[in-house]
Amino acid sequence: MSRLPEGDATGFAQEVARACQRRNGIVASEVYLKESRYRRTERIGSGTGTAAPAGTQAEETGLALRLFRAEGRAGHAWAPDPTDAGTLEIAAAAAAKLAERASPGAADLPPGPWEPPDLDLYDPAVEQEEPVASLLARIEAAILEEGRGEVEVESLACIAGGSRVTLATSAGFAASYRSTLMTLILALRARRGAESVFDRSVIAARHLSMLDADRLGREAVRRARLPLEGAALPPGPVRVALEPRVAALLVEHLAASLVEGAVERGRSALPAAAPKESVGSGAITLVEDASLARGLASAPFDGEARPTRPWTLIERGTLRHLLGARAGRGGERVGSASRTSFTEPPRREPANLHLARGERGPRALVAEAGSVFRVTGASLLGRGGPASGEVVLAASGERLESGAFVEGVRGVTLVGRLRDILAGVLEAGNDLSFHLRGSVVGSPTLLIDGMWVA
Amino acid sequence: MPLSIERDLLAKAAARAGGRVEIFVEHRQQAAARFEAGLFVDPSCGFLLGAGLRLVEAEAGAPAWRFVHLESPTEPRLLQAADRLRGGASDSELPAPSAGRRFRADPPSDPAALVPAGLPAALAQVERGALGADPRVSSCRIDYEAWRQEVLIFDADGRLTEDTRASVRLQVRAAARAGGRCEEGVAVVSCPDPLDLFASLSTAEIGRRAGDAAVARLDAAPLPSGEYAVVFANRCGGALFHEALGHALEADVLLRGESPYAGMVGEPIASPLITVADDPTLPGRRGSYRSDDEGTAARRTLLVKEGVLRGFMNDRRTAAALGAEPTGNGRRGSFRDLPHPRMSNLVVEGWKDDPDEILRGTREGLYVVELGGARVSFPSGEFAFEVADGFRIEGGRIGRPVEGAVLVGHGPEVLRRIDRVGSDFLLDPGAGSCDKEGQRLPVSLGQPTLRVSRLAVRGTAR
Repeated sequence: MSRLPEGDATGFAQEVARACQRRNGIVASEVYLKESRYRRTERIGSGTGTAAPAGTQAEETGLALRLFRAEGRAGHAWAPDPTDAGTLEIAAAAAAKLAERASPGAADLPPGPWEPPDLDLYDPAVEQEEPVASLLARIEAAILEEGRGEVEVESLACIAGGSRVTLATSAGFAASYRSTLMTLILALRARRGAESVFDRSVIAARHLSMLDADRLGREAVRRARLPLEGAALPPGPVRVALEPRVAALLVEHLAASLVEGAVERGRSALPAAAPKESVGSGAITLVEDASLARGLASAPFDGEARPTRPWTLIERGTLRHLLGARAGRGGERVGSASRTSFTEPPRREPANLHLARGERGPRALVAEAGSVFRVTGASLLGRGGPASGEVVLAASGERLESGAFVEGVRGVTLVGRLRDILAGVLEAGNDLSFHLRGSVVGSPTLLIDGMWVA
Repeated sequence: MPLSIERDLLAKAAARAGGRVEIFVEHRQQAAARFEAGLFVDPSCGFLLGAGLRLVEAEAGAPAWRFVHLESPTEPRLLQAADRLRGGASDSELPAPSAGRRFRADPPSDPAALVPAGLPAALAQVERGALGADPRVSSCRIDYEAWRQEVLIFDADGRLTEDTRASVRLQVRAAARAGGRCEEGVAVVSCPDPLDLFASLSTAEIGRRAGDAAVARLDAAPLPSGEYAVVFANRCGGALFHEALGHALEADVLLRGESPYAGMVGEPIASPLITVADDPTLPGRRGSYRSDDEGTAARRTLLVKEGVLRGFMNDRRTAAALGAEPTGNGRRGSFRDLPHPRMSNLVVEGWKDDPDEILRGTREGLYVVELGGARVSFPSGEFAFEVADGFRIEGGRIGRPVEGAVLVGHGPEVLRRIDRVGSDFLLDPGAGSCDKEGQRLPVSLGQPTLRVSRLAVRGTAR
């Protein structure tokens, strides 16, 4: 995979870090290398007999430098082709120039040596063509069997591959890790008579063995079918059960409100949020954890070469920490500094941010909940910014009475203020799963009072 | 010449792949920074050089289509990528990029130039403008981004085309607080050159606009659900047309059987007051270019003329499938992406109504200044748009701002219900980006003030 021989990447990065520190006015440096190789495999229109496997291959290699001047001024510059001396010089000169323009006090100097853990993020099978193609074929077969002519595959795509991240600092830290990731994109169409509805779902995993083809196919068919002949719901308050992939939208919306400074700067949907204050019901525990084994956003060290570990932001409804704040006077910063690519400087954004699982399964949750709108599909319409806190979801799913199916539902606009929704969480299920959104967020099924059908 | 061109190398790689091959080479510089609470933070810049090779028409027995992209396109790497296209050596390593002939930015340029030395001071003035707009404005965050893209396209017929595009964009988000309530206002400016960013508006004025918008929202109240006459301000920027009409007129949507306008060319699909075109030739707009990403010359494409559908937007693939001409709409997010038919600058032409008279003539209704999140279902054409900035219309005048309103309707029906079109055509200030197939592209939108006589609005008044 690599343009740099195994083992040499850390040595190379250390050498570049030391060379950069020798530049005029630079007191420290950090070198980030990312090499990745992914293959996109797609099966198109298999339900119509026109299946044609198609493939795309992609490689990406790049280097990023952060150069630090005195008083915590940092400049970030990046370039492809780390082995080219001319490219390196352009990037180093640009980073030094930007460090001069940055405000003082905005960056912490990089750390010295320590030993990162192994988080089991690498599965060689994900990098091979045959096992991935076989998985897609089994998912497709499960969909066609469960769909019984009513649900067909519009496209079934998989982006699978691996990457190696290397980070070295002028203070002596140098480490590297490999990881794999496969992302499945299932686009299904369900038809009944003249009706036709479309469903798209995205599933991601670090290891091939984490994906059960049969279960994935059958679940996708269930979701695709539900809105067929679906009814609308009357305007007014409604008790909802948000399936994990829908509840994850709320977690994503919540994240921006819990970043340090968001409250003071009027950018939080939880305007009263302060440590030790209540921000939701006792069913809410929110954790940020980039150290989860096999986690989609996990990393043995973060984008600033610091250790990753779990942080509880909300504990049973009470706010404990704001993301990015210092835990105690002079303490470490809460959360990890993530980098999605070498083209972006490290940012303190949530990694594997998730609502903790409850004790009961999702069936038990709705069985005793009376009349419930179980939301199986939704898109977040609400712009509003974090400050408005208004959540607007275009939703579909099913209406249940004491857990029993009554009718499919579609075309519903669900609204609510984030603080009301958090306060209205009655219970969390035990079916926690993680989803690729703007960042990786996770949630179990949530049973909620506090949303309205508009 | 922005990139050193090695035509013989491109031709050699294309021949090696077999069949007809298109090669897209891109050199991109970009920069970003943030200004918040008086601090200029996270300045970043860099550059990429890469190529995407697409087998447009395979030799007999070759796969239906293949696409390979690579960074640092040196001669051995391009040739090996061509082998991959041919179907052989699919898992082989590409050679190290440091060996062999390479494409270069010529002369090598400094990506830090996209972050001018005077930028921090200018952004501090923007912040002061926002905070000075009203005592209730409590904070301001400014995001700066700039990019410059140089492309070479060696098309399947051996023609070489080059183009250069650039954009600088400033987004100012101000927050206002009062009585336990927080609201956010946004102002955006954009232009092709960093040095022109503050040419049309002063730094303080940009900030003040964001502050004013935030303060206005503090007074917003929910709206009851119902049917309303809806007036869309020219500042609305044509987002409704982009989402509910434009995407349905991209020919890949048509080929997938998802366009509600399939088979309707030559038929009326909208009010006769409506004329819509896609025009990448407008000077200096975010969606402008001289050539699309397949080497087809940019041109204005008339989509709807006085309510009658005139055609669809095509890239080369969809044009071949439909027996039509490419319209210069084949665009891609980067060298890593396949091109698709995409909008550039979508414009709804102005008519002759006085915009003030359109408002005065609407006794009760909703005045929409900015649309937010959107969901459009194809092929049904059903849509839902969040109203990001809107006001009640009461007695023909703009009244109280509304919050949480969602417009719900059916695209083809709503287009027919447009009964007033103003003479005040306006292009957006450059906020637009469009996401499709995982590719984000800069676009512009423009429209005059116009009115939909009747539209369902889902409000949150309880």
